[in-house]
Amino acid sequence: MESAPDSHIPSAEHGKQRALIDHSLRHPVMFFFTSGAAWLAVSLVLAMIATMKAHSPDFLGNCSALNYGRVFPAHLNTLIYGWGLQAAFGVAIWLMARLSRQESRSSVAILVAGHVWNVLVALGTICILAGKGSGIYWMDFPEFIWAPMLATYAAIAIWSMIHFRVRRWQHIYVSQWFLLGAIIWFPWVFLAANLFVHVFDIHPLMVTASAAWFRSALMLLFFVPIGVAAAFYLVPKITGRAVYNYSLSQVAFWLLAGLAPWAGMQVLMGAPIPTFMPFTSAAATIAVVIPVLALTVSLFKTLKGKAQTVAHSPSLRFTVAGVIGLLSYAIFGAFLARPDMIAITQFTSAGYGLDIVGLYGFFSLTMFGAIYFIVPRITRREWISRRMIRWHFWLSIYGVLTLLGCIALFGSISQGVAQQDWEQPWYSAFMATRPFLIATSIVWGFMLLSNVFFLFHLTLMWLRLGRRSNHPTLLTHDHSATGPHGREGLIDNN
Amino acid sequence: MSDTNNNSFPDKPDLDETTNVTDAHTGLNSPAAREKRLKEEGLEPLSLWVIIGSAIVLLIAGGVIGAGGHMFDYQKSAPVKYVRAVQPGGGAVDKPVEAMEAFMRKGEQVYSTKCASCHQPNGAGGTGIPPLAGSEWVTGHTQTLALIPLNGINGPIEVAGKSYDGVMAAMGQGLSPAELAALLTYVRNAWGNDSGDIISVDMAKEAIALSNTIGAKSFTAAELQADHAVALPGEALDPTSLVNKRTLVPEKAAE
Repeated sequence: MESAPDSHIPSAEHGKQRALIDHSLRHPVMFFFTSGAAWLAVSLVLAMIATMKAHSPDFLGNCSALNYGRVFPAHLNTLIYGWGLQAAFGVAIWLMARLSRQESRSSVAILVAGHVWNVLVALGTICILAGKGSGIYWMDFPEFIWAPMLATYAAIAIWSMIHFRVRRWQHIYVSQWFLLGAIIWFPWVFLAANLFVHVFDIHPLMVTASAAWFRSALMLLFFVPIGVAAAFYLVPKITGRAVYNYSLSQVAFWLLAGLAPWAGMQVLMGAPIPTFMPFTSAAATIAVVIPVLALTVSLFKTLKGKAQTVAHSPSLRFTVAGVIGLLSYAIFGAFLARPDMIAITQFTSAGYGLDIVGLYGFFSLTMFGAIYFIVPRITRREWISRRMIRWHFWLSIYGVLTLLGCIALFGSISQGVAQQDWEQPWYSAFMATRPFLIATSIVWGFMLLSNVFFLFHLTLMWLRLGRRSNHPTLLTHDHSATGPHGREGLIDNN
Repeated sequence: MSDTNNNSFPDKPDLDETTNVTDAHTGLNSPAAREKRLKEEGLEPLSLWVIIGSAIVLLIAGGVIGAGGHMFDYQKSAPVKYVRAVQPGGGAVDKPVEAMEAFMRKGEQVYSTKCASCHQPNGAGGTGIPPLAGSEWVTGHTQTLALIPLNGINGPIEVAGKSYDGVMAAMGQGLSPAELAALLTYVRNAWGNDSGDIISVDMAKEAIALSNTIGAKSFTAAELQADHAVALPGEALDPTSLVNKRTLVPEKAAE
């Protein structure tokens, strides 16, 4: 833990140190990214089947494993635990090692735990499709999965805490605050919710309330800090600037830590639980906009005047889109938390739309940004095709925007308003959402296509088939005579 | 870490597992080496808009808490104005609907539980069971029609040009006046029957009263034609008037 004011160290030494850290973590990080992206593809296929089932129930016949009631939770849980957590693991362990200036000495343990995690997610998904799921939103894996999952999580994340503890660099970066927060909050949120839902013998209404809290807490206390940590690393790193205001980011961290645990139960407004629970949650969800606003302002002020860099760097482009997604998630969440909005949207697709905005529009996009940054460093190859990156980017952006419109805004509000007309049978309220459902299943198809580009690209990188060059793959439009990526460097083929 | 070794290949990226990473990465263009150094964080003055924006958000959040009302009163869990208004009688407020629509909807429900198993959902009847669609007994005198389900019928009967000889039990016993009125109106106006009138709840009450005075007696077709070939007392309802959709009692428009 020597505080080394290492400005006198030549930059070659820094490069060497970084390379050693990258090298030490290359197997687990690459494993998390690639298997995460594969789960994302699975999740998108399931999402497509689920929405198709919603508007044309006869699609794929009468197979019980492919019914909406099983495919939909399978889609959401593979998205959360298969893709979301694995991407978070990959980014968190790499980022913490880099910022703490520590090489990993436990890559094998992390890699083994990563395999166990994948087996657990696969087992849980198969159980859901076989009809053995728990049926609790965001916690649909059967009851026996959560304890081994938590143990596996500990085996993966504990090393990052140790890295932080023995860091070689005393200054704590904003990213480290958020990484450490997420690493500590996840076991708390996961354990508390699973104990209340699966273990303790409590009133069923309180089980529902705990599950609603879990959904919001996992998002705000795990996915949000991980995504924010990635953004607070990449933005200053790529632009070469200092973060706009360190104290503001710190205040935002503590505000998030203080407010987010109160949020979540507003979705139960009107249920026979004590009134203070949904109303405090609604107010907390609205107040979460304050730290998110501070973080967004901090990031955009850091980016000011760097539009060209954002346009050229795939990492930065995805990150900026993700940060905008974070702001949209917080504001949309606050909008839905108002009691008069809940009355309309409570029993519609609005909540699921909010999940998608958070998990895809914010979290996944920032993770894509981080992956485009990290993978060339750990594989020591450059991304092969900027065209594939561009397709991935634009299909994701248009997909998320259309999903926001179809599921979260117009679809849910038209359904909610139609449901208010209680003289009509519920079926007619459902029919009000049908055009949006059809659009949604088409959009999932495009999202799947974008992820096929991403997964294919990533797999090629994993197989060490990346470009052997020392020019990074940037999204520029200029073409030189020597090729789209500029002059190739010296290549060592020995 | 020999500098001479590195400098001999300044542009060389490391490519294989066998490459000595520490040596290769001092090359100026390798990804890890060309990275910019992460700066320690700055402290630029805070924009006023951030504070104003946060204050507005805080106000909205406070407003929501304030709207909670009796926050810690565990007897009242439903927030004010959240639950729909309740009528003094206990039921929810019904919007009046057009009489013919309400009678037909309710009548179809009664028909499907009481009659459809023999007379078929389309009123076509079956082997030995007379049809209701196109039957002059259905569209004819209302008292005749009402007494068939209320008391039952047996013996020969001619319906729509064909002869039948069977027994029908008093299937309509126990129906409320509103249900009976809806059922009779339904069979008189469904499947191409177009009497166009509505048998009101008052008329159905009269029919039930009449049936009660007669007692448990199953009619023959001849008896019905001889004694009961008249309309039920009471006034038929205008098909376009507004009624309560549950009680089928006429109502004034709400707005």
